[in-house]
Amino acid sequence: MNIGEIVREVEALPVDPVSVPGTAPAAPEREPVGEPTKVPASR
Amino acid sequence: MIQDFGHDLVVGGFRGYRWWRATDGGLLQSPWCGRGNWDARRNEAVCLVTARPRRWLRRQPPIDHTRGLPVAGCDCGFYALHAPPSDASRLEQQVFPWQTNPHLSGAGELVFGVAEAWGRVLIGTHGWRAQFCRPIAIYVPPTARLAVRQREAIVARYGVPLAGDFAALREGWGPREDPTAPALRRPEDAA
Repeated sequence: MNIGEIVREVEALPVDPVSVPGTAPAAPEREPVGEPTKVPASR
Repeated sequence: MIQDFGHDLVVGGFRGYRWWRATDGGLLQSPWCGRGNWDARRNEAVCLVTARPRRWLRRQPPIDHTRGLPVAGCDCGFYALHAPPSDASRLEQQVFPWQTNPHLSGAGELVFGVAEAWGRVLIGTHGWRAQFCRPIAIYVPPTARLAVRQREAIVARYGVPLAGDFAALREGWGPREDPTAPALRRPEDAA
């Protein structure tokens, strides 16, 4: 594809924060309080 | 020598028109180079020259890609056009397939639509090349041969609207502003 003569170089930040590289929501720091993890009796 | 254009920081992605190849399962692929499968949310460009240099004839010294893709002196990046192709002769469409009439979208396995780019973007007089890209709308005329299940698969996989009307595609999702105009004047421009 021919985009013609390059006239400008930009760093574009998307409005949608989800699509910004490296800005995924951080994982919770603590385990959620609730039922203890159930360990299967056999594997 | 590669010209230094400065480096503008802008908020919001750039939109442009481009083609994809649609598979039976509704997967969109780059149609001419690389045949990469597209993700719905985020696709990062890979330079095919630096990734597989043996497949390419090098006519010049390797170009520095350490500042990121795309590079002005290379051909890497995701491509799109500022305006939909029009009035290209049949011969031109054969030689430059991206100039194919958009109304032929879905006549074969190629589909036409709008993409959004962000990250590092090189703006040309006719289009752009970008580091990150995603599809945001696809145009397939109702009379196109593309199977209904294939259209539905594209919508389901990518969550994008499928416009059956070309004017609706342009008005609803096409580029709004002239991307070749700098958003802000740089201090050196004002001097």
